[in-house]
Amino acid sequence: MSTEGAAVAEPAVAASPAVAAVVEVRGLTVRYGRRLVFDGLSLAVPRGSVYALLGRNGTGKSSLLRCLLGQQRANGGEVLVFGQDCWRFRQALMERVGYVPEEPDAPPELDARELARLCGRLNVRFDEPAVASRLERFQVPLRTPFGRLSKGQKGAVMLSLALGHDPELLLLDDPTLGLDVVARRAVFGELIGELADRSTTVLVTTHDLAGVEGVADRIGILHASRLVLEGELEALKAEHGASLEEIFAAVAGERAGDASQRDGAGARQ
Amino acid sequence: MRALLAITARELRERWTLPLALFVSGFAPLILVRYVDITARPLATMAAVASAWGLALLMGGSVIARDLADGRLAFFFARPVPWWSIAGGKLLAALLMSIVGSIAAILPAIVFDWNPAKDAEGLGDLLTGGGIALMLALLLALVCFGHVAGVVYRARSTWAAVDFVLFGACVWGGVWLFYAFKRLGVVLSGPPSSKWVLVPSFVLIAAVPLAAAAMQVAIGRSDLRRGHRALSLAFWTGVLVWIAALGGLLLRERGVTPGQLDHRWITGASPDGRLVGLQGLPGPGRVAAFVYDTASGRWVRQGMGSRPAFAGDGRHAAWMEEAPFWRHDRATEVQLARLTGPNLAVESVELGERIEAEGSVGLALSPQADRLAVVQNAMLSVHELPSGRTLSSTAAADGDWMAAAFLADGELRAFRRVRAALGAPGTGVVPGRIEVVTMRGGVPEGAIRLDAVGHAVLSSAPDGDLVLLQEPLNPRVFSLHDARKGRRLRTFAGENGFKAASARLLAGGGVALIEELAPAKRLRIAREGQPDLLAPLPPTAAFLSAGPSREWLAVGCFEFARGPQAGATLFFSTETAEPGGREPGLLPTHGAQLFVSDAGELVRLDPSTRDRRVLLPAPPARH
Repeated sequence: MSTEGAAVAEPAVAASPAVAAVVEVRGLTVRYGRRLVFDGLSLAVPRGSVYALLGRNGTGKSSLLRCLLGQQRANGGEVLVFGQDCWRFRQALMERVGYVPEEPDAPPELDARELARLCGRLNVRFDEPAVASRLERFQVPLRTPFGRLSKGQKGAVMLSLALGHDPELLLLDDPTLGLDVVARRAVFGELIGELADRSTTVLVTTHDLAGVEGVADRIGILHASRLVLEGELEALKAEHGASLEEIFAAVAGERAGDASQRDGAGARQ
Repeated sequence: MRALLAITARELRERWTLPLALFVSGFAPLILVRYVDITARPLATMAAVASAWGLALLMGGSVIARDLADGRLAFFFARPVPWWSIAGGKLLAALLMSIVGSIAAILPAIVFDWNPAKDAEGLGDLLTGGGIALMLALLLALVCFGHVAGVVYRARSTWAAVDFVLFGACVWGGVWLFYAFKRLGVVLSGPPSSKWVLVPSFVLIAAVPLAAAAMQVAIGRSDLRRGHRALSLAFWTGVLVWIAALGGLLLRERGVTPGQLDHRWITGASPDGRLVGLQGLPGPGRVAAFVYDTASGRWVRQGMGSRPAFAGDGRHAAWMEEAPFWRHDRATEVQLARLTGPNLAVESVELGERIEAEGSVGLALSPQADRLAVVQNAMLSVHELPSGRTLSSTAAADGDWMAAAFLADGELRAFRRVRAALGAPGTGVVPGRIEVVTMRGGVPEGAIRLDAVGHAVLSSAPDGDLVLLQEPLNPRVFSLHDARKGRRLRTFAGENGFKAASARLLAGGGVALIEELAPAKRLRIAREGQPDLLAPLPPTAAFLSAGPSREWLAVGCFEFARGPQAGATLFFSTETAEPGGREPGLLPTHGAQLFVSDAGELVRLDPSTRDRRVLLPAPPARH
């Protein structure tokens, strides 16, 4: 509590060329009661990369993002963004981080313009005109309350708000979940178009393997509380001679099958 | 601060229809008064206050907890905003909405039913500085408690079971502490003199859930269950600190001794003056009462249910106390103190009949403390001690019981005022009267009417067969009656221009009076069959009391009045009315042969030598 308060008085965390990885997770342990979500998870997201974190449902992708946002305290290990502890320096880090949640969580009674104005008051670096023009590009109605927008429009608003303060790190929690093909293309198209020139680092969790295949340059696959596969996407595809979907099915599906066979054997014994 | 205000504004905006709805509902009292015989303004004030309280609880319960449960608090935590801005902005919005809502609710009554003269008592009382501060403190406490309840309700985790158990325990502990303080006379029944007195208490009470809310948002952030655990730990720690602090205050209060009392006064005494009821102020706004053994200096703490009654044997005292709150079968219980050797032992007696705590209760104890008479306005009951078995219950019928006293032979004599009533047609009004009811073994044997006006009051406690009444006439009149025969023995209305100011029955018969003809005052001692004895008194002479022995009468002179003998006690022989000296800086206490010195000491004078013996030293504050 006090550490976060102390962070208020400090200047924003300075970008340091010495920090090679924007996101560093070392030996992360997270548990909910008796359920172990991560058991010594480690990963690093290099600056300027688009990192796709893949995994089946319930593997802890959202929990990892919550840790990176400083909204969840790890039970063990370190979670660093720009070399700073996410829990202790949440407020300062959020000036450099944009976030699009899996479930859009903006106040439902506010329309897109009002949301932009609210975010402008919460973040001094927020660029309202840029957000407005991005919303126009997405063809989002500006005077419709957020709660009445379609799922795709909500996603577009959340992405626009997340990019409003020109973040150095963008965290996307399954941003295309429930979107139709056109909306999915718009989201990833916006990512490619907007981020390519800015060298913004992106960490995206998704089930949309086809969508992310054209965007991501690194992937990591979570399974059974651990990161079971990580590397350059193109290198992995070349190494295994398979598409991303085939690699994912082989790693996550095969291991899941192994686990179910083990469980079955245990039951028989 | 910018972020805090932005969050507050957003919360207010989300709920802008609430004040509007309350404004519309504010017209209900104005419409209601057209059909019901009530005044609009008090109804509107009550509705506004209830709205404010309800709104504070509801807003407190939803402003953060609902966002947490809906997963929307993360929106704010994903911005560069400190946690205290998020929690503070939302709770401030809840507080402001409660205030605005209550104003909106009462606005129609103010606009359409404005009457400044009437408002001075209702709304005007609320809108004083103290009233507004108290309301704000109360609303803050309600918002914070609403938040705690909201988080517990929405978390729906197993921790809630711990919360409920602790909540029940704390409610029980809080009520127990309240009644413990009430029995000791710390919590008085009347409202405080100023509303400002209560403001710090409410702010301190609000501080506990406020701190819990801070911990919940700071540690739990957007995680409801984690926040719930942090909130629970902080809240119950705060509550335990509160209860521990109150427990410490209770221990300190229970540790008060007669020596610590300031402004001591005597509430009653046994016939030999050994046991006395002693009351005083151990601190501001607190009263403590004791039954005090003047011979040994031992004492027992007495509750505030009634004045103590003393048995004729000089070894027993009884008083009424409010029963513990968990005893639903009885409202009061009797405490019986007994001198066993040098010790004062107290036992609790459960009466066979329910005695309500409300209203004044008078007690009379039989000479051997084997019976207790409980005098209430409507009922006189006699109980056997120490079993508590009820021997009789006698309703006052068309009047009120005034007092009761046991005679030396164990007979109970009770005084009943019968109200004036309309007689049979054509006979006019039947005047009120005072009756003496004699009871033996708890059974009424007969009633004798006293020759006095019905609204007379007992001037001093009945003694033997004699009773002295004060008849509320102008000029003041005292009358002496034979309670056994109902005969008026004598009327004291003053003579030669002097008016009777004060009177007292003397031990062994006779009446002493202070008479005044401004600025002169004089003492009159009247005995049946003997000429009255007169002695001059200083203008400051004010009240009569027992002297150190039955041969001496004490006359107290006002200590705050200017004039000769101010603050002194004068002694007069009860046989000759001759002055017997004076004690400077010593005033008699009412009802006992004890005196209070200038320094606040409680002093007993030797019956023969009148040497001073300090029973209780001056209270610490006067040193």
